[in-house]
Amino acid sequence: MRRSSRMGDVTDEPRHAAPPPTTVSPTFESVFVAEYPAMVALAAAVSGRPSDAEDIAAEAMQRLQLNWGKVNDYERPGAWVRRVTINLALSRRRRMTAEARALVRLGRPGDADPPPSAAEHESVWAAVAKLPGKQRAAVALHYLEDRPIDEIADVLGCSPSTARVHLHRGRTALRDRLQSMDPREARR
Amino acid sequence: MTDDGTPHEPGDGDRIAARDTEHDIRTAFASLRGDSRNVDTMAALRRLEGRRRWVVPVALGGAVAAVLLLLGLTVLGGGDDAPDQNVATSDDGDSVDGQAPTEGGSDDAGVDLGARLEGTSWVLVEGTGLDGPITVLDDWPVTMTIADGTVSGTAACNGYGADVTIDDDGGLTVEGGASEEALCEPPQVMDTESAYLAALRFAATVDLAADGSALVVSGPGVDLRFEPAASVPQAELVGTTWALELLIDDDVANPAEGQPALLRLDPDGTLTGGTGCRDLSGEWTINGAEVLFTAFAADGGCRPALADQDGHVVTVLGDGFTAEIADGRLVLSSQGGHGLVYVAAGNDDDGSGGPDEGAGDDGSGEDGRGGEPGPDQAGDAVVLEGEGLGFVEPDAGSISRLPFGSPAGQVFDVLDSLLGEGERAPASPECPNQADRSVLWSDAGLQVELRGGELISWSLRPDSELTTLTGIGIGSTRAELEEAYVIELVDSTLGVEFTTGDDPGAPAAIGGVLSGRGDRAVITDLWAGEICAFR
Repeated sequence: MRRSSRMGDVTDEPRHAAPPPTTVSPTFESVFVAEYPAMVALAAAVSGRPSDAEDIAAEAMQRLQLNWGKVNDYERPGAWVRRVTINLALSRRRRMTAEARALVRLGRPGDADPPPSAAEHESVWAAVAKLPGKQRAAVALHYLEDRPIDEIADVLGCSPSTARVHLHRGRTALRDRLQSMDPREARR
Repeated sequence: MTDDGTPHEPGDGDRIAARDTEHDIRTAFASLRGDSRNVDTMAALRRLEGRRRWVVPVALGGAVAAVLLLLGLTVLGGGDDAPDQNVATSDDGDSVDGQAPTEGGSDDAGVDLGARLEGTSWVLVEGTGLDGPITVLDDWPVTMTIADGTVSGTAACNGYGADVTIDDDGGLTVEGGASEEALCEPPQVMDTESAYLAALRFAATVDLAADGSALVVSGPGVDLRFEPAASVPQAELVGTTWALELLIDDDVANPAEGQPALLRLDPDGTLTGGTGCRDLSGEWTINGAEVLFTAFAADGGCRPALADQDGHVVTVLGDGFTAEIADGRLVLSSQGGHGLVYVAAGNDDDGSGGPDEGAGDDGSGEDGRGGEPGPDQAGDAVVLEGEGLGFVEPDAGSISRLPFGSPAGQVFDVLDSLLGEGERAPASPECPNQADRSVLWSDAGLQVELRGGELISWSLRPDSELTTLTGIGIGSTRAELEEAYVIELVDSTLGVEFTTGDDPGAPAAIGGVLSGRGDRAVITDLWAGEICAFR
């Protein structure tokens, strides 16, 4: 099915900043090479569907390319493409949830997609999958990329205090869920 | 909580546990980060760069772009890296399929090849691209129409088009090129599209089989073999009001729900219809083997229960589709295995059978679909219960019951008399409850399943108005549900599932799905018994 090329549901615009006069703006290709693997990991963590991660990352990069003339002027183009990646991943997840419901009516088993590195960290990804979208995104940016709060806020399009709440609640929920599991289970 | 349900006691081990879980989380994310370093970034970049040559501005919608291309308008310049057309010829000069060429090549004597190909449409059946064989995907066909000096069609995912010149001797020049810019799933679709579009740019000759049964487009290192595409049955399609019967998703058919979802294409190029909840309007045209909606609008709103159907209808119709009429049914097929099946609802000249008739806005389903009892009557007669179904006996002023385990004959006698004759069908062989038969009373939105000739479950369709004796049904809020029952919630792949079976004094459980956890969340699914659900 074709997907809409509209932006996702985060609407705040990234901050503009004039590029420093002494620096050379990066090319789209250099940003692609630098950011694509990170977008694949981010898409896998947020969507919970590693099989879709490259597809999501590619679409985010294509949107970056189409908007390069504008985004290139941003202080942090990486924040823009992360926001797009997260929105695409969350949209994908919502759609898959809707399809899973539809499958019940069709009497068909769901399209099971093992979580990232399922065999090794099944319990962690199961707990991540239960987090609300913004918490999942905040947790992913924190653990995957070690982003500080203000950058997480920039990506999520919210204030630093709100981002801090998303991250705190996400980490707390993860800990609680993992600790409530059988120790042998939690080690998987 | 511990495994045995007792509260977790804080103790000395907690700090260790906290540290361990943090370590587990960090390790999992680090592993994911490591995995991502193994992706082929340069291949991804090449795919994107390869696509850029064919991209049209985002503002050009798919159908609009296709129409522009039909008019011969080239959106992007191209051909800067096109091969020397003089270098390439077909390998051996034979016509396709090993047939001997007619005199003067495979063309009919006296009729030039360009004229013979004008207005023809083709489907790719086999191909070799610059990087090797092109995978042809059944659900994502590659099509090509040659008309008015352009070649256009669908390249697995996106519509495309380019200027084309065909010489009398089979020389082919493809210039310019544009396509839509959507991404499709799975990734193989985009691989096929990229390979095909790249191959087309290198095409240098075209060879038509003497009997017109095949077309081969070739160039240095590329070879695209096509077969004729089925034409649109325009005479039957246009001027008839069609009523949606089934939604196709791969090889699964799901009955249409909600208001009658009609579709009518008029000879003046306009279309009207509906999705089951929203009204459709627009304009249509035929491009080769496909019907395209060149203007398309959907007005109104949908209940959540009908949103999936609405999306399915809009996707199939909006993406362009092929049409086939068989056994009185109109089958529309779009990409990705998505389709729609319609039955004729009327064939009139004045459009009186149009979509506005019988499609009231109130969602009551009272559309003149015959004398069978509608949902309102059914709602008065059938009662949902955790241990089966109840039905009102007006004469006796009491409720009789069809508990689970009731024989099929009794179930049919009672429910058919109350709801009209249900649609019998074999149950899905994949169902874990091993049901062997299901029956759907579509107007009432009630489905039951049977195993070994006995009733084992019931479930509701999203538009059903049936309720329990306490008034709980589809659309009831969580607050209303909790007033009537003690419930237990659990998050599952289906969403927020609930069951009423937690109260020891209550009868057998009714289960379902809520739209969320809040008090105002509504019931979207409702069932009892051994249902066929996969979590």
